[in-house]
Amino acid sequence: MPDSKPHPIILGAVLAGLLIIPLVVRDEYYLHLFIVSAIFVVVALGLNLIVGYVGQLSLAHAAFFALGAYVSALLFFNLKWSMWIGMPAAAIVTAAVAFALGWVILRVRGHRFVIITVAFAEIMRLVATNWVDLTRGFMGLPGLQIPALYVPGIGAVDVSSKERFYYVVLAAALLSFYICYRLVRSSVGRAFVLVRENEVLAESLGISAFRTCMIAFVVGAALAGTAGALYGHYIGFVSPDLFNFSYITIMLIMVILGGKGTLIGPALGAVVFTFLPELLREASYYRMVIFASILVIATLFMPRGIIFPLVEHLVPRRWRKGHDRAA
Amino acid sequence: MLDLAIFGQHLLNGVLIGCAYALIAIGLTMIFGVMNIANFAHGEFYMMGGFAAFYLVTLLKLNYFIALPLAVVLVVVLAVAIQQIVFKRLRDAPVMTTTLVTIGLSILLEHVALLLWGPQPQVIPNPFPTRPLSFFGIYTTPLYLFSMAVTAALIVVGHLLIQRTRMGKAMRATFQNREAAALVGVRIDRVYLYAFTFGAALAAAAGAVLGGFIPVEPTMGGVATLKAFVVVILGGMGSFVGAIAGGLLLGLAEALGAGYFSTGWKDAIGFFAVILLLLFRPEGLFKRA
Amino acid sequence: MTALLEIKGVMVHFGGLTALKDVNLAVSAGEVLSVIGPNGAGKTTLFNVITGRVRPSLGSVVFRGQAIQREAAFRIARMGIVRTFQKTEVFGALSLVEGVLAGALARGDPDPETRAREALESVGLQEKAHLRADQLPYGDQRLLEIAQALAAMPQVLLLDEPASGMNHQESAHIVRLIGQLRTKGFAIVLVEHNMHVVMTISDRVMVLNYGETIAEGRPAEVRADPRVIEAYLGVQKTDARAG
Repeated sequence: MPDSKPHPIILGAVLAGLLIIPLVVRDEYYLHLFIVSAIFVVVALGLNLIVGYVGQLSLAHAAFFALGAYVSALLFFNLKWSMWIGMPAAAIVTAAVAFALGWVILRVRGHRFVIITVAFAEIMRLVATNWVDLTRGFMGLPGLQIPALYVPGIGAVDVSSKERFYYVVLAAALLSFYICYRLVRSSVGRAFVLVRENEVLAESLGISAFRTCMIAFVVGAALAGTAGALYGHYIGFVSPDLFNFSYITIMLIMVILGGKGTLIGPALGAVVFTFLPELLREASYYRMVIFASILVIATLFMPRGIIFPLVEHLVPRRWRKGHDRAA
Repeated sequence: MLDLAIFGQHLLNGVLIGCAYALIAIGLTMIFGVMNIANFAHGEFYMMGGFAAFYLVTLLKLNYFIALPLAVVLVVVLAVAIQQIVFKRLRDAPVMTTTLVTIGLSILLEHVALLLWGPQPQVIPNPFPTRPLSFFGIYTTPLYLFSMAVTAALIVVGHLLIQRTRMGKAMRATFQNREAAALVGVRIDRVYLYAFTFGAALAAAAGAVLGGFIPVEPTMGGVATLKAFVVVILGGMGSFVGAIAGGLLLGLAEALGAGYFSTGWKDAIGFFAVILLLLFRPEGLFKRA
Repeated sequence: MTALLEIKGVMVHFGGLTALKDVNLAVSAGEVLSVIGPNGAGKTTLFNVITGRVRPSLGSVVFRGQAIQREAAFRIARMGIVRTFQKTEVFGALSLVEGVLAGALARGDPDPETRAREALESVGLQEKAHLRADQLPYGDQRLLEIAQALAAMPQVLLLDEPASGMNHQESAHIVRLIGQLRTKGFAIVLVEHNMHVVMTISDRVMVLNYGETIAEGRPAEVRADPRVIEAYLGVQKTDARAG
């Protein structure tokens, strides 16, 4: 049954491993990669809800990520709101925009859906580029900061160092994983898969495909928005470059090669495909040639992705998290 | 006051760009209509057509008028290979698969181009005199006129091929109803191959011809694909005539929009139109009679 | 006896074509109503109208006294009208039990697993609950469709050619199953080409031809109706020629 819980020992070991990373990894650069990985775990899990669970190819996900970054950055610049308010605000705004967009586009499917999401992403990019009074256009919004975190009983804690910010993004990644874990095991989440497999049949049995897709779309966008806010404040700079097509490509690679429709696959995919491109940074054109080829080959010949089947193969059955994938 | 000469200038530029958009979009709409694939890699043929012509002229020192058709031939060879290796496997595949594959292919071709030819924009050297010509206060160059004549001629030739030849009829039959076409003896795999290569050839021709004044660079394929999608949706997905009309409409709207309004926002209008049309009028602006 | 589901004066046009013309129908709990007629007579369109996939241009669909012809398909299913399809529809890549859960989940059933298990048991597929739906033989997939529908706890079941493509033994099983469902109090509307099945289990039979009701009554009456013999056999001859 899909509801079996992860083995407690494995879960504990993984958590412990994640927690000690800043103590073991003293190299700033590698720590930076772990931070970016954790942020992209949040993004990939969100995209996976739409692409992997309800089976709709949305190319608007990177636009939601960028929108979240802009919302938080603009609140910081114009209203001096800190990231701790900017981040939930980014989640709420992206969720609201996704809801409005979903209200019109979740009534169409297939090519029409895909192309509308592209058009939406392009419009967002043009707004960020051309609404210079608000966004400063190509100059972008520099100087974002990571504010201190106020902890009741302790007071303000500075989390701006890489070692400490790691725990912030780790918390975000774990929380997102938990949210997705609960969601896909809820009745709504089980409906995701039913709609993906046979929408007409699911509707004839009482499932609203529109509502089901909407939930995946809105939650996925909120995760992207949250991650965008974290990313903007961490990098310290938000610009229209965030809307580049390369972002959605790498997000899709994380989800597809990780194993769409599973949780562990896209999460690991985010880590692997954050590290790999950076490690191949010297050969930057080569690496996109390689990744694009892998995307084509995996889509054609490995519909289950690469990472999840590997995990399935390597981790003993009794330790595994149920069958994570509905198939 | 509306200055007629300036208006005419915008109109002329718009028609030229419009013809180029139409040339690129014809292939996209055919691949969509016949194969049911939204080919995100289509603009890369336009990009490669430009580079092929550039290197034939500069590296091999070929005559400009020989280099242009030869560039198209080279891209056609590549297109046949891509069709046989990749697109053949996409027959009857779900939208998710076809789209992901063509997105991957687009990124792949773009970065292969970056790797081979670098990011710097290149202008194809051409034998035309650069001295502008003037008619009634409207300025143009011989290269512009040549490009416009070639793109317009290619559109007409393409249209005749689709309307008059056996293969063109087979393509139209496949677009109307694939099962029925297969039943009456149309060889679907042949139709796929021809539609794909034909579309690639037109896009490559646009790249080669326009490369004389629009610099050729590896990233231009992605932009061209998006423009072509706008055109295809304006004209109705799968409609040949719609692609021509849509191309001219977008070219003119852009030239006039850029001339009289802001250049930055003009693209947004096209994308808004795309969203509205896909939601409420997927058959496009000019429904076929 | 008041009818559970009633269709009153339903008209459906597709372009210039009239698919259904002033069709009336009523079915009560514990009753099996069969709708027969040649291909293209409008039987599946009738199901599409009842389940909200096609809006009638005129007329109404009344379920438990409430007009439902404007409701969305999924709402009608939740109200208690569930159908199967002429062309087998299952959740291919999912296990039987995951697919059968759909109806129970949609209704917000407090114990969907039990509901799914019961539904699989009632068609005799409980042993295969964890197989993938697309790995089942065709006959079992037809039974699975009925289980999927049952887990949605409907009051009205619309079965679209449940015995098509089945051998004698399998269709006998379907007949027994439909009989059991009738005893349990389901109102059943059956579209079926297998005349043996229709004549064995129907309480009433309705004959559609070119979207019009040409006869209705007990199986024996309908079978003896000269109009039916003429229309039906006439068209059957055409069918035979086409095939």
